[in-house]
Amino acid sequence: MILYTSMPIDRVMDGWENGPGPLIEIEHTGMTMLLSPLSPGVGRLVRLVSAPLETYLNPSYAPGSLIYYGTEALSRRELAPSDYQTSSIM
Amino acid sequence: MSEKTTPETKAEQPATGEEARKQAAATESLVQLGQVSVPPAESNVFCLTIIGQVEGHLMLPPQNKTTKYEHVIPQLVAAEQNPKVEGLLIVLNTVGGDVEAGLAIAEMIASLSKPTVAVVLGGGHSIGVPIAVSADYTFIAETATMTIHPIRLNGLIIGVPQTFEYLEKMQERVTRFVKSHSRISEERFKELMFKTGELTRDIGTTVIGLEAVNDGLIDEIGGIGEALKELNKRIAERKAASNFAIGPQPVPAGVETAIGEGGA
Repeated sequence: MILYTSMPIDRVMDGWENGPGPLIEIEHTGMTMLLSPLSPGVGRLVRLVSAPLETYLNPSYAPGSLIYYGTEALSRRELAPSDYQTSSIM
Repeated sequence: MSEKTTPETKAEQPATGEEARKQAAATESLVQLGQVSVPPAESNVFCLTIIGQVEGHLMLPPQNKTTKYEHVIPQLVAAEQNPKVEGLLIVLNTVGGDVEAGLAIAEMIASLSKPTVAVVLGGGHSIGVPIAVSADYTFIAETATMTIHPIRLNGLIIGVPQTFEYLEKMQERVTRFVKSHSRISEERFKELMFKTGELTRDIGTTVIGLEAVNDGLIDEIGGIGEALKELNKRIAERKAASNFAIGPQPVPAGVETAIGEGGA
């Protein structure tokens, strides 16, 4: 990966060692989503793993939006950091 | 997706097309539910904002505002495929980011068949430059800046030997893309890229508003108003062109014979 940015690299990578925190993958309303859990049943959308194409045009499913999936999320699994972070830089 | 049913009763003075449909929907909601809910405005323009860092294969720490390519790419596919979207407005205020992800987005925008207009507001630095020039027509705000600098002095690289040649190649990808999608010459772009003395931390150039236009990087000075006007003009031109293409078609020989035989 090469970052081509005008911002100082140390500012961009600050806090890298803390990692993105625990993420969960849920299947909800026919979509598979990667969420960063905030409280039970609520998560911040990190990315849509699989979703119908038109969902990507819907601003309520943009990364960073809150998803209320309730407690009955059909399948949910905790992800180990190695599942979503492909390589390390240090 | 739910299909909207056309109301049974028609308005007394039917307006044409889209207007009529909206009006009818409002009337129906008033009759059925006793309340006026304004139907959500449906825009024929999809606005794509490229902000902060263009995030690539690694998730950046949370203090970064990022544009995630894994979301933008399906978004572009959806916009291209969705018949309601007739044009794309790309708004940029970015400090750069991942080369691969940035070039992927730029290539995708360049390959869209629908009209695209980009506006650089604030800044379109580093990898923001190829993204900005990928649109059919580009605007830059008068105060907006674009920083053109070499990759190698500000890059982050992981485990790649022959670093120098590799970075040269990466730089070449950016240069080639910008050259083929804007009016700037390769020589001028490289001159801006390697210019010494203008930036304190790095070599390179910051071009502001009109300078980007004069160098041929961007087409015109302007903001959202100008950009939407240009986009609407291009949408109308595209519609006119497709109507013309659909127009009177030559009748295939076989069909003509069949009709002739049937009539005889």
